[in-house]
Amino acid sequence: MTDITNLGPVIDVLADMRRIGIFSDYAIGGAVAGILYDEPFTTFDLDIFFFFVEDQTGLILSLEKIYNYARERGFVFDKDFIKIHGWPVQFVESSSTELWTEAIETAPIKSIDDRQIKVIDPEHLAAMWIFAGRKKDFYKIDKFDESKLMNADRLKDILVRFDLLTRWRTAQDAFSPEYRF
Amino acid sequence: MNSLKHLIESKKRFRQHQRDLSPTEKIRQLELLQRRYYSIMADRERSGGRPIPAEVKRWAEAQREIGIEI
Repeated sequence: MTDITNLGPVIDVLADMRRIGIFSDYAIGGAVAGILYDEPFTTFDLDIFFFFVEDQTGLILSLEKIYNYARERGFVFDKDFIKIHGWPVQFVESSSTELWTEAIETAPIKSIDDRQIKVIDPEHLAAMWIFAGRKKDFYKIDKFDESKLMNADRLKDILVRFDLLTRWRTAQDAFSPEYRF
Repeated sequence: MNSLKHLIESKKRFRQHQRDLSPTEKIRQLELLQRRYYSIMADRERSGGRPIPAEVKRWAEAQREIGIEI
C-alpha cells in the first residue's frame, strides 16, 4: 500500500494501541477534525480524544501506558506531544467529561489513506470549542458557520444538554441567524 | 467592479472545491500547507524577523525525525 499522507501510518499506530488494549475507543478532534469536514487550513498537531480500557483510579491521570508504548517504538516526546510519523500527537483522556465522551461515542467513521478512523462530528466540535472559548476556537466555529456545516437542531440539543447554551449565546451575535438560539 | 465580482465568485468556487475534497486529499493538502507555511516562517526568521512559532518548530522536528527534508 502506498501512503498518500503521513497520517495513514499514524492511524495504524492508533489502531495498534487499541488492539493491544491501551484504548477502548478514540476519535480525531480539534483542528484536524474541523479540516476533515471543511476546507484545509494550517494546523500543526493532531488531537486524539480517547478512553482507557481500564478505569483510571487515583487523583492524577496516568498516561504511562501510552508513554511506554511510544518509548518502546522509538517515538520522541516533546512536552505534551508524542511525535508519530511526522505528526505531533496530543492524547486527551476523555472519560471524565460527558461532552467529550459522547463526542467520541457518536463520532462517524471517515476513510483516510484507506484506513478507517472516527472523527468527532461538527456539532460536538462546535460545542467543545465554545466550551474551550479561545480566540482560535471562535475562528473554527466561524468557519463552520460560513460553510453551513452544523445542523442547527442537533447543535442546540447538544448545547442545552451540556449546559453550554448561555456560553453560546454570549458569542452568537457573530454567527449566522440559523445558529442564534 | 465586474472583475471584483468575478474574483469573489472564483474564490467561493475554489473554497467549495476544497470542502468537497476527499478526507485523504484534504490531509494531503494540509501537509502541503504545513510545508509551505514552515518555509515562509523559516525565511522570515532567517531575515531577522520573528522566530518560528514553537508549534511549527515541533512539527518540523517531527518531520526531520522521519527523514523528511523541509
